[in-house]
Amino acid sequence: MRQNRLSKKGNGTALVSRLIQPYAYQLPVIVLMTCLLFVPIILVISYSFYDNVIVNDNPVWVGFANYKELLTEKNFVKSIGNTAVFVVFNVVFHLLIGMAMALMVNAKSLGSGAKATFRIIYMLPWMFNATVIAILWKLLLNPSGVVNQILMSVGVIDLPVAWFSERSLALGVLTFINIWGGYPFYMISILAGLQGISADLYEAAAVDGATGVQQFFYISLPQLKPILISIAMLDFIWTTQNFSLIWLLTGGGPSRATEMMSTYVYKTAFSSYQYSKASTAAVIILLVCVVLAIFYVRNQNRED
Amino acid sequence: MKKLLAMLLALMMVLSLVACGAPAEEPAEEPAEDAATEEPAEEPAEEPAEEKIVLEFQQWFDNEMEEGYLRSVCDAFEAETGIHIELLSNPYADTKTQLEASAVAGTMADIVALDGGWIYDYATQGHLADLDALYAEIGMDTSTISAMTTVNGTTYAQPLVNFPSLMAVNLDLLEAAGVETLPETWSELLDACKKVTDPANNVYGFAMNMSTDNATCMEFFAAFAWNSGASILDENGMPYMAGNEILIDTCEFFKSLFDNGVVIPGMYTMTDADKVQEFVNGRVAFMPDSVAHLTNIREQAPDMNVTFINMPHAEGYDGQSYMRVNNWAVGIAESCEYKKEAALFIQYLLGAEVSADLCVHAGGFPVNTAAQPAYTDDSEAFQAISTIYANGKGKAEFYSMPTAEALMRVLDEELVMYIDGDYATAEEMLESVQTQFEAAYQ
Repeated sequence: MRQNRLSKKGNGTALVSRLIQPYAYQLPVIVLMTCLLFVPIILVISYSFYDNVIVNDNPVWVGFANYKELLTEKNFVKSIGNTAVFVVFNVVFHLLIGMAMALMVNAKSLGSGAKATFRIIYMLPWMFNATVIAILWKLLLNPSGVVNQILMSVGVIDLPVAWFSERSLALGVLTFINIWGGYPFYMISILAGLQGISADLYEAAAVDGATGVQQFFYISLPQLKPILISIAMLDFIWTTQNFSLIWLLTGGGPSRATEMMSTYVYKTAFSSYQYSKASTAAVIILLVCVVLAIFYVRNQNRED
Repeated sequence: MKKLLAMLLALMMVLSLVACGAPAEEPAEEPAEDAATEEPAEEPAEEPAEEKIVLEFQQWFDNEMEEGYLRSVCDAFEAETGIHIELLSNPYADTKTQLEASAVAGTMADIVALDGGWIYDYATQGHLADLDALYAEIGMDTSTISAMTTVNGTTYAQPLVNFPSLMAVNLDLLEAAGVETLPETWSELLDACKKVTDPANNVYGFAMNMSTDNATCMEFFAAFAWNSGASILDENGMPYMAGNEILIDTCEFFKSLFDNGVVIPGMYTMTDADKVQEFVNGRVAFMPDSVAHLTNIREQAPDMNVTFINMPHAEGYDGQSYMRVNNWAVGIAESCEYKKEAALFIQYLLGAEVSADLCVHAGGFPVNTAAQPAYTDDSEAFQAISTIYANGKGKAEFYSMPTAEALMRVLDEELVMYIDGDYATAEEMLESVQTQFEAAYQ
């Protein structure tokens, strides 16, 4: 009887140990993620429901008032519009240019030396950080810079163009520069995908008389689809959060022509000291990114 | 057994993580708990009091003067008082970021360097100590101190060195264009700019930074109005933009520079550094700028004949001459344990001899009227700056406003829209600015 009870006790300890064990393994990660991820996010979300925080000793709960105010504020609405244009054009052109470049450097007609050379050259923009890109393009597009001089010498323009200062041009120019700086990521990812497609598929298609274009649309593209969706979603999230390049090139100007949600948050928090309003804007950006992240994860799961 | 060991290891890792995280949380909680958390606050406070008083001085001044100079000033102060000053030196932008972070966390250094645009906000947020009370406590004579920055009647920041912002002039370009006299009025400036401007050769009359990454550039714009007798504050210290006749005229004059094509292309997003670069490259004749850049200009364009004039004024104005003045100012953190000692350090820096020497090293002008800096620079440009400074009065009205930098950014954005024709009149634009400025007070 006593032995039976002891055996039961031993079983109970083993059961508890078995139950706790997986959680104990996860605990370090859970603690890290809680401290570094969940707590800051929850804090920012909670800030968005107060009149103002950090600089205010007695914050007052205002519910969704900050959200209502922000979504009807013309400057924030404009920043959403600018961000949407910036992001959509970036993702689309990154995809198109990245695909074209990947196909070029993957072409069978290209020798291995030429392939390696072009891969390095085309990858260069990805190796520069935002500061270098900003300085480079600032010099190139300066009113008395190289681009204007070339355009004037070939008669395209009569007077120098202030690329960053023209309100009608600034957003387009900024988008162009970010496209230039970001396409190599697509190129590398797509190239890796292309190299993973079995040559048998192309051979079989060739035997069936498929043209190069048909092979691209019926073999390459479907095979690359999971990669394309993944990198497009990641790019969407990264571009939405882009701050440094915009800040270094235009500071959101002239007259908010290139104001993005990220620059809006920065100015609201660190110039106007309206931390609750800035938190509200940050939460809105977070929501957009979370929606995309869900799609991304679902896509990944489907792949698995 | 192995599993149990692994579990124990994992638990130990968690405990060590928690232990590592614990001290970081404490300082954030302490300020909120005020006097309630006596034990942790007392222990570190008692030790230094027994040994030596150490004050932290966070600033960017050290980086902008000859290496080791500020340290030598602090050492001399220590020799006199026994108070050690620990310098926390970083470039301006880093100082700004660190100050913002430390203010939020309640861990500001004891003495902090302050830019004009930060003072109102830090003072109203309760981060800065009342200097009037501290000066009274140490019995400081302020009769020769020409500037103290007040917020709602209380001094929170003490300027140490003044840097007037004037108009740099490339005399070589004026000579080549046949401009013989330096402009004093708006119309004379416009005429001179018209003569100088030669787009075919990439030469323009006027350049001013207008990028919103640093909207303090709007002080250059306001200086045109200030030197014409305008104030952007009413008698109650509130913004006076709408219906301000001189300011309306200033906007119209500024727009005329664009309409006449005498401004360098790209001015809307031009940064301070870009502007100076265009000037030293000989592409601009007139550039509103801080005189602190004189050395920089000389280094980069050693052959250029350069001088400084005050901002031209409206036609017919013959009143007091005003100029934009920025300064190196300092404040004492409200959280500072040795406020009196910190005030003694400020008093030391303002002493006639120390102040004079500091100005020579900083290339600025003294706040103490009794200070006689022995400048070694006898160039025409520096003489011109000295004469304008001696005969003019400094203005920095934006710094009496809350969130000054954000408000200057508003003015910048609206001014661009007015120049581009989004507003029919300057009056209409300034009404919009007035509304946005008033909102900052609510």
